Amino acid sequence: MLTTCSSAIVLTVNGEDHMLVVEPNELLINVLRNELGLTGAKYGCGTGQCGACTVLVDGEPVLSCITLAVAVDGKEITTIEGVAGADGELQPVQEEFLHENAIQCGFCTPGMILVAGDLLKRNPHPSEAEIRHHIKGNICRCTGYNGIVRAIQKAAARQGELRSDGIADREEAVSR
Amino acid sequence: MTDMRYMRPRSLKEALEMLGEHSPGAKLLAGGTDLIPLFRAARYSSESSLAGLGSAGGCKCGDCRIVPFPDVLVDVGGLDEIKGIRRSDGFLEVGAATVIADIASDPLLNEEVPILAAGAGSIGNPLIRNRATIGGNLASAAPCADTAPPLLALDAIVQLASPEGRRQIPIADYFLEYRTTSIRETEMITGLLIPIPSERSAGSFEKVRLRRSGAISVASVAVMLELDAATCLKARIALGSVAPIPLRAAAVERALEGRRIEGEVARACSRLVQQHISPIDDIRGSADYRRWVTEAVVARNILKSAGIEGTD
Amino acid sequence: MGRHSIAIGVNGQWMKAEVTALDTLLEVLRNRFGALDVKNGCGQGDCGVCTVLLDGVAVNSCLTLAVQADGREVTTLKGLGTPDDPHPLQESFLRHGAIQCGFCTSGMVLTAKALLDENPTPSREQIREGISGNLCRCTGYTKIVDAIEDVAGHPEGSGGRVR
Repeated sequence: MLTTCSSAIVLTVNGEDHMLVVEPNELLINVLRNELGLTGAKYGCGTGQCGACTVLVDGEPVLSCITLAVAVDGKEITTIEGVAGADGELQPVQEEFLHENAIQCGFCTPGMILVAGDLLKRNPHPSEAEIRHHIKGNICRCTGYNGIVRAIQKAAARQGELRSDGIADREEAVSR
Repeated sequence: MTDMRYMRPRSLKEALEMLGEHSPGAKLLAGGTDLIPLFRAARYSSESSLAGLGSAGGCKCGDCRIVPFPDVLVDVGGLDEIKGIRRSDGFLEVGAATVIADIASDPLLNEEVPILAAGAGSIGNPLIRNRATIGGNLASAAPCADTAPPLLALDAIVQLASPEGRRQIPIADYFLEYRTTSIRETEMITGLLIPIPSERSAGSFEKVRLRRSGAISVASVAVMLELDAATCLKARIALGSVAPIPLRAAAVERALEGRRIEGEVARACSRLVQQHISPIDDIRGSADYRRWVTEAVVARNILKSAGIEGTD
Repeated sequence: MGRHSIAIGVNGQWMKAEVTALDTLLEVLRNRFGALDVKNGCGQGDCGVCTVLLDGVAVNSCLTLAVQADGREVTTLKGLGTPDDPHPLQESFLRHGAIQCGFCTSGMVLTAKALLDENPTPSREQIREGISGNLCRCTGYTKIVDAIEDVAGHPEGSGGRVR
């Protein structure tokens, strides 16, 4: 419904520009899921505590359930749908999540993978304690976390294998 | 824990000898699907004196006493002599150690007495049915035993053997009171004889339950009718889980015999079921509900057996 | 003291134990023989996680006395296949995402094996009926039924490779 408070915003999501008309109180999570059909980010707690709604805004992990859409006007958003290569080829961190039984119900997984990617970008050789610290904002009720930690460790060990679409190389590509 | 010993006789004769030698301390084991949970639910005690132990509670069918472990467990589940299903002289003979899964799927039973196959198929779940036996279902004599209403409706005969010899009793005389049967101390069930219903017979079985699998009945109904066109010549209505024992609703049967079956007749006769049943409140349903549903399901199955599509 | 010497064939290997009349097959498999792939759930035949094949028949090992299995062959999940040589059912479960916490999986796969041995081409309804003694709290069953149906359709093994 168009009101006098609506604004037109532009979000670049996974490399594609979208112009949207939003209310000032519309949340980014709802715009992504309901307007753009990108249901990879999950609506978990709705209060910024569980991390299931995590997306990247200009490369930084953000809790989309407590982010207003208008606040990210003009920014680059990366969701889980944008992590694999254009041809659908999985990133090492995604493959390792599969190998290491880091996925059961799958609800925490999109947020977890984005945060893992963020960690490996900042700290390519994290210790176990550093991994566990970095994922503290992403709650998993299924796995007990050990598989997730192993997956991230394995992905770290495979850093040299990242393809050209990889998260860790994105900065480099953007800055070229 | 207990000094209970396990024995596996290699023949029926040996089994009877063991029963004779060790009674009253001998207990029979076949599938074990009823007995083993009871052993492990502390319903059995190794205490020599049971005074003050009270009731263990938590069992599936109601309030139960704690009993001492037997001295010996005699496993008759593997005796081929008391397994198998065959036709013989107008009867179907079903061995007591025949597993429930085989009873549910047997082509002969499905052809001649489908209500028994249906009752058996409704027991527990596929894994339970691979071990549980029809003899065990009758011997444990739970009011909810699902082969009981069909066998009652079929006028089955229970075959018993002891070291002293053999005898047979009509199943109508088999269930005496709550979990108590006519089996004598050194006796065991060896099989069932089921008269093959006449060509004019039809029946149906229905188990009211909260789930499609792993569910003890709220109420169960087995109906067998012998019909001449729509007129009922003979009726058998048997019920489970609505009284301390599985039983027949004789008043309903008498009211139906000689009558032409149709909707109002079925409903009126079904009302007479109330004088036979004394259901309880438990976690599966209230007594009131059981009274109401038994009457409705009896009426529905009378109509179904008579081939009449009726409303509930 | 009521002790019995028994021998049980576990995945083709004959193993001995001294047991009481009360010890269940489940307890002996897990605690004496180290077959931890057989799971302990409800202990009363309602959940099916303890399912093993006893002479090829799917049974609750919690409701079978060890003495009753004396001289008989038991198959557990590890007897069906290994990571290097998985059974088509194991492959299919992985490929279809039919495993989350994994606790029901051992019993579920063994029940599925027995089901397909008896009926190689079950309908989805028959599959659901066949696994109705094996509870799963995670998956909602759909992918389990998909996995079994896939193997039923391709008894020699399905096309997809396991990652």
